[in-house]
Amino acid sequence: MLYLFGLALGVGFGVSVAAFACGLAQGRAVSAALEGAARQPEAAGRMFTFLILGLAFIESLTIYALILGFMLSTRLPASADVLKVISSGR
Amino acid sequence: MLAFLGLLAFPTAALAAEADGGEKIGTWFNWLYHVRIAGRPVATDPADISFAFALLLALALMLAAILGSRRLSVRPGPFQMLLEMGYGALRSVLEGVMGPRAADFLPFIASIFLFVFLMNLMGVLPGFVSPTANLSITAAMALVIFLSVQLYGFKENGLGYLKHFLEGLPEPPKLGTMPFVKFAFLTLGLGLLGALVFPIHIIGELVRPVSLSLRLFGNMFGEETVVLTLAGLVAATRYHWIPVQLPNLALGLLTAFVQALVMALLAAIYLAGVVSHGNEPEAAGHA
Repeated sequence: MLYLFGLALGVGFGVSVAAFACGLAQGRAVSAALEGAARQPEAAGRMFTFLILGLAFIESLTIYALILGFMLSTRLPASADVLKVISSGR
Repeated sequence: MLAFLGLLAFPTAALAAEADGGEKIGTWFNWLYHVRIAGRPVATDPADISFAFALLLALALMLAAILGSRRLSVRPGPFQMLLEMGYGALRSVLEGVMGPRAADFLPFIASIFLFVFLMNLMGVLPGFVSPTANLSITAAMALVIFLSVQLYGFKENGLGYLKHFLEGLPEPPKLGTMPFVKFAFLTLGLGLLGALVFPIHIIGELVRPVSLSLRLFGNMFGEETVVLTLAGLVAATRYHWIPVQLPNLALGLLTAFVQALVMALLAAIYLAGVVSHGNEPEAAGHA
């Protein structure tokens, strides 16, 4: 039961922690890029390319967590089965 | 059963069948499962279907390229206009990354972009699956990029390409300008540092295809999973006609474009890192 508990927590929290940090980081990246573009509008086109690249690098970390989440979530039992076990009282 | 109903109603989701005990997804290529050549089935798992779609797309792209460039005229028709606009946009983006060498690598990078973009977009059409939502396809793409980067590295720099793996080390000391003891210490230190730096560069090089393939696969698979989950929410109820996954499908168009752009740009940056030393972009990280 402790195993399932840890598994469920891992599935739930893994991606959300990653998404939290990734959101913060992407917000910083975009705000810096916007500030740069506001100061130097003629460099905005070139900046956009590297902004997209940086966002992809940041996002790929969350994607790793997401893949792990998918892999872990297939290990979770169906909730109907768990309820049956609990209601049977063991 | 719920997931299966969702798939029947909205066959856009390229969700792997293992979630549902080996059920096959409803696509237009499912008849491949029943075709046998010399007693062996042509397709046995979803990866084969993805491969069939990718092959179909590659043929379609080739046909479009041949038809589009067969009768070129100075006053372009709409089709030639479209191709030329796409070419111009890709070329200007690539010139921002690779500089004057862009023209040499444009065919390679543009093929990657177009192929990945159209493969991503396939998932939005009913009856098709997105081949990029399958790790086999994205890993193959990343492997092609990795191998061509190594190939171009050796082709452009010869064996000097191996020096690229010792980047970041200080200049080696010269014996004539300093006492021998200092020289020996500096050389020893440099050797130790090199022994540390070399494996790090090798690992950084090997991680690239892994991250390339996992990024694309994770994005597309995640997108399809969200679509499937949303469709599955209503599929078994009497509100099954409400297309709750439609906003996410629209978002999928954006993801398809951005991920294809990222894949092509990363390939361009990796290539730029090996073909022209000196002015390589800072963004070429090892993530």
